[in-house]
Amino acid sequence: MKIRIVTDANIIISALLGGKPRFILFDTKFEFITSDFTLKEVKRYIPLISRKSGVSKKKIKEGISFLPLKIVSRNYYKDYLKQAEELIKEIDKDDIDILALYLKEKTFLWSEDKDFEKVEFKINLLKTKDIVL
Amino acid sequence: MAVKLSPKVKRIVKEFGYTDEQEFIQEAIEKRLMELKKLHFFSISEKIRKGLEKKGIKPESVLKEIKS
Repeated sequence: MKIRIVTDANIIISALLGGKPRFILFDTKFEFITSDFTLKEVKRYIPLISRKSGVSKKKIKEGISFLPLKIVSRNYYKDYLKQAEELIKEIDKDDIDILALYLKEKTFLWSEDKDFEKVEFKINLLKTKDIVL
Repeated sequence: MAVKLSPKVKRIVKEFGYTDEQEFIQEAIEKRLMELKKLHFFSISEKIRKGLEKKGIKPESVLKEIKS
């Protein structure tokens, strides 16, 4: 049985930039899930990554499409949005969706975002360094 | 198109406890697709990494800029 991990935007971006998460994301021991909102957040930074790296926006978009991610819509975790909002709205509103998905999945949240450490709720937070291949 | 397995492969499929040949073929295709996706993704992310390096930009600074 695969270990399901809720994956945050900074992890996907780090993989795109050639970081260690790219090795983990293609490890078949795990199953990675993220929200449509989170993926949109990643796509928002395609122009910036393209400008800085010189790689075309089209190519970067193509790269994202190859990632083995299960992408779910807000409808999938709608019952947890209110709880997530209460927990993190004062810290960063952009984190509501990924937190709601984590609350629905009740598994692990993979993120390098320190905001999740400030939440007054026990989160099974994974950092990239915690994942051993 | 139906895929025919050689007797040698058929024997291995049976020995490794697959319910049928179809299950083995499905798994093999999925694995190969994952390998191809990985290959393509790594080629693109490597281009990005090298592109940043060429300009003296560290990935950490890009991530920091994105967060702020």
